[in-house]
Amino acid sequence: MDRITGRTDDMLKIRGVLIFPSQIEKALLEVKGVEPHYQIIVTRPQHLDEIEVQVETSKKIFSDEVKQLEEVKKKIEKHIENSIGLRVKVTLVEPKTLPRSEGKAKRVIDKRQL
Amino acid sequence: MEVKQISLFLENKKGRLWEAMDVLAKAKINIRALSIADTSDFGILRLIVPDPDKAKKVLTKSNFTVRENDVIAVGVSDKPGGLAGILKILTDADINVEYMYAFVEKSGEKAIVVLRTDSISNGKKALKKAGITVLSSRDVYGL
Repeated sequence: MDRITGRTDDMLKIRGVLIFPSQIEKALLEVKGVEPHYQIIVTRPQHLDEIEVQVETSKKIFSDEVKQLEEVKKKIEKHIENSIGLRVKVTLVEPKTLPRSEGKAKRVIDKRQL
Repeated sequence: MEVKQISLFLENKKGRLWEAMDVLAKAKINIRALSIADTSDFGILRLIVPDPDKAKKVLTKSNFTVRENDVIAVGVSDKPGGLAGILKILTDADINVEYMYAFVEKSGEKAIVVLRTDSISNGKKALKKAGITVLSSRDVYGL
């Protein structure tokens, strides 16, 4: 059953690669201290798709040093890249600022005009 | 008592800094010193306030991500070379400074430098060994 990763209506096709939001969620859960509240923003600034994953910070990962926050960011980026096979840009946002799931969560904002 | 610093995570967007300051204003908390580290999408605001525990409480209550940690405060003479002298001691002791900020005392004779080294205790040790007075919370908050 492992090859079933999610619903087809959640599926995204980015740069020709199929991606399920659940893969990103799984990657986030692998990073210690990170809470799985995220939002995926897909854009196409030029000819290639770009993915930005906004992740909420938590008390556990917050530090007074920029260096350490940048490290957490890189770690999340690495885990997501390993999981979906595409490089993403992670942006840390403040806790409780991303929409919470009410029934079916709106995790993806697709700004590409396809 | 150790000098405590309050740091908070701020998204780089309009009005967010004001919102944080507004919380402190309403709680009647005065700010002794502050610095902001900014990156393209977020900033870290660092504050020295007379009552860090209260500041942490009110900010947390208003949904800010807050952290309280120790920093080193030293008084340096307000003249050329004052800060260089302190940094030379840390350099010679092979201690890296993560960040620092400074403010001038009201009397105008001394500047207060707030330092964050990787290990606060090592930083303090090196400074004390060189005969530098590390300020206590009472020295700093009461200014």
